Amino acid sequence: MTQLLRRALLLALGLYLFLPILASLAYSVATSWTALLPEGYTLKHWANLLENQRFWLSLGRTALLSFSVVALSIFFLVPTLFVVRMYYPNVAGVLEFLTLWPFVFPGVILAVGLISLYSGPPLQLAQTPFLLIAAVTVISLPYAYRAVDNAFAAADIKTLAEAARSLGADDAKTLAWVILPTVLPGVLSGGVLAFSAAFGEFALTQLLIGTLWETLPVYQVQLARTDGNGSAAITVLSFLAAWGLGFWALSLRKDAKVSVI
Amino acid sequence: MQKVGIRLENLHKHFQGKTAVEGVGLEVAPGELVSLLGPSGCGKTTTLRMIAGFEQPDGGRVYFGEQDVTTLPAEERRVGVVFQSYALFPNLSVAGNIGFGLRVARWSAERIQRRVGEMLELVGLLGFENRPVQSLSGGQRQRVALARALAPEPRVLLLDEPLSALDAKIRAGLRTELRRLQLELGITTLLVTHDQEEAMSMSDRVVVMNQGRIEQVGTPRELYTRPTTPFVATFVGSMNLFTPEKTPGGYRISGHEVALPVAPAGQVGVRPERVELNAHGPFSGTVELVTYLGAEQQVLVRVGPDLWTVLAPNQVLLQRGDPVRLHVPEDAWILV
Amino acid sequence: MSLGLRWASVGIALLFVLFLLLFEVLPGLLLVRVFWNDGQLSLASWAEATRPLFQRALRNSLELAFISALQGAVLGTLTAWALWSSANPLVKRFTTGLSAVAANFAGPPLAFAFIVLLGGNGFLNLILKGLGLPTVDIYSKEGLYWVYLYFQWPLMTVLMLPAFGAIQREWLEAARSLGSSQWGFWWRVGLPVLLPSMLGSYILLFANAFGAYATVYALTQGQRNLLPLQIGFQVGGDIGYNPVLASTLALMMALVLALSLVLYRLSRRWAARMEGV
Ligand SMILES: Nc1ncnc2c1ncn2[C@@H]1O[C@H](COP(=O)(O)OP(=O)(O)O)[C@@H](O)[C@H]1O
Ligand SMILES: [Mg+2]
Repeated sequence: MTQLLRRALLLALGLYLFLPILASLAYSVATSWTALLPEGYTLKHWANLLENQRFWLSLGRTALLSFSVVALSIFFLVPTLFVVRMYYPNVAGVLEFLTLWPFVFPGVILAVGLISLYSGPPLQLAQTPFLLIAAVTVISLPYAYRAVDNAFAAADIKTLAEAARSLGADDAKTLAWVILPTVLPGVLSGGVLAFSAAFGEFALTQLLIGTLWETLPVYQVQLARTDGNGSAAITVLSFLAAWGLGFWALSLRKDAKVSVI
Repeated sequence: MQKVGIRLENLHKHFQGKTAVEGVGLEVAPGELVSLLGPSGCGKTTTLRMIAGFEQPDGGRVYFGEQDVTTLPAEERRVGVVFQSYALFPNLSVAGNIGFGLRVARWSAERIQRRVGEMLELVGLLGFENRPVQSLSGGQRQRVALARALAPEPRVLLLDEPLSALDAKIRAGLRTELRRLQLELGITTLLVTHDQEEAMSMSDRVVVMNQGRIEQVGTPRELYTRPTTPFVATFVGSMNLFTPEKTPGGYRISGHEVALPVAPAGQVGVRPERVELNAHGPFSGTVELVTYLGAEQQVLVRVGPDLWTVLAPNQVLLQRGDPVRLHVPEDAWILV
Repeated sequence: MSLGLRWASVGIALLFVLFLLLFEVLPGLLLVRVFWNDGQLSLASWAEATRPLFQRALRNSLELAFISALQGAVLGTLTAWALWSSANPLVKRFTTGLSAVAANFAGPPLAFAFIVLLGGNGFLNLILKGLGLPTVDIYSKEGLYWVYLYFQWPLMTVLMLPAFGAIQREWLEAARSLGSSQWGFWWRVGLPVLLPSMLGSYILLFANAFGAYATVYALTQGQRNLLPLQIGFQVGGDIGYNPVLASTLALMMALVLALSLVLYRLSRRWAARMEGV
């Protein structure tokens, strides 16, 4: 009885998570689909999409955005968490608090605040990709922060550093040979999570910059008005990216925990 | 309380092709306390869990008295179980935990309260009824767990390493208390432990297990003085164990001729406290290590190819490198 | 001690704090400027933001968040239980990973995937029609629940796994040896122990749905009276550009989320006390 319920639940969840992708995949290769199964199959929609310059440009912008967000996150987080864990453990609470911020001020609200703050001098950043990159970094921060912070916590870098120093290593060597290699998987996992979050970002992009600097999700919304099959192809690509990145990030950690708050 | 014994017939259990318990047969008399003793992973817990009904045996039968309970679900067996991890319910107070089985059995509130009071008195925790279990020490938690298991008057009591998570001092105290309680209630009890001192000091009889099988069953005294296998000989207490060589005149042990009372079939052993330091002893060796134990000293002596453990009185002053001679009285040899 | 390393890191950390102030904290805090008009306290924008239209938007958003979180919570808790009691470590790991990834998947791709599945000519709808069953209208209020369930269900599953992990198998066994059925155990012990975590996770799901913009925008082209969409309209929509109104509505939304956060932290503390055995 419980065995049956257990199986049914897991099966239902699996179906629920896979069915939409499979349907989109089928739709992206269907000639026309009005009966139970598509009438025929074609690669035409994919070919159209891949020949479309707008698609490549938007994909390029999305990639640029995502890579910038990852670079910025790692550039800030690794040194910050290093000094906080090593020398100033009592300010850890402040950092923790700052990563909770996006919970209360999610994308839509942040966009409103940023627009009213940066539409005029002294910092006229509205409608530039720079503001978008900064905003998406803020929004994806909780994911990256969790992963990197867990890595530092698990490594217990203070003890590691003391051990390395007792063996005669100076600080630069300690950092290069001991601390960085230990936290690297966590940092990488945080980077992948931030990349994934930036890759799918829509609210901030649409509100801050919209079609002026079209990213893949924004382009998909435009495309869907005229070409459902092409949009389905983008859906498949986005799913693949998100799932690939997600499982990659998980495989970098021993425990399969998701980062929320 | 009706007293029933436990009878196990040829119990088997495998996990994913790996054998955990293999052909265990055992009889526990009503009111008796029997220990399952053995190294970690030898199948003690699995045996206990099959008796409790948490695990279904692959083969064999379990009886409580004359009743075959092999397929009876755990909730109908009326056993009391105490776990190493206490397994107290964190959302319930001390009284809530102890009264759990009584509420399940739909006792009246008034009877439950009276019974909980009796149990608290029994385990020495009067006045603790409303405390959250999180506020208790390890020893107190295990007392609550014991009270909870005993409250519904179970037919048998099953204890799985009940003292292993506790500090040495508390463990020793609780050991005597547990045994006193068991004798007072006269409840049939099976105690699982890997601690031979615990098994020896608390039990009427001890069952030594190894790799899923029973090695030997006996009273603590029997196991210590007449172990029947090399495993039991070394696992219960410590033992100098040798494989004697046959010579024309007798046997050779550690390179020296000795006379043995009976012809050994396998190995020959002697307990450290039965080895004497004696200037005329036949075994000559050199002291390698002296460990002061308070009441006596433990001396490691190199005799030919072997290292002997000897318990010697403190008055003899020995140090590393001293030549010594050892003597073993004839009746001290144990054949296994 | 190579002081350079330490102080370079401190420098970057300070830069990080400046960055967060500029792009995270100030944009949020300065929303309250809407209550100042010519250096005077003014509630004019608040009056504007509480017009019936926006009251309905708030109510709709709350309802959507309440119900979609409830659906996710029920299914996710049951699924976490299924994983807890499953003996197969492979199924466990796969489902956990799958849920962790799906919990973060939202936005246009999700919306369009569901349109393919449950739109007017959606594949599932065709099947339902073929079987003579009622079809699902993905553009309706209920349709949105189906889409949100895609991330709410796995999110709840992933959130509840650690809570189930705190339930020791020995508790269930102890209860059974005391004569209790499995159901009895869950009723008397399991549920009370899980309750704080369930509450906390529910709040997260609630906030998740309440603040969601991308999915519903893509699904309905913004044609739905929900608070996030109304806010979006005021800063970038076709109707017009009204940053003061947008800020006021955003503040309203932040208030609800801040309250959720406080409740969430309280529930975590309660959970920690409960599981601290
Ligand atoms: N649920 C289980 N699944 C797989 N193997 C198990 C399980 N329970 C016990 N075992 C294995 O069975 C053997 C005996 O275990 P156990 O009875 O717990 O030993 P003991 O209590 O004597 O330490 C061990 O090798 C253990 O790994
Ligand atoms: Mg065990």
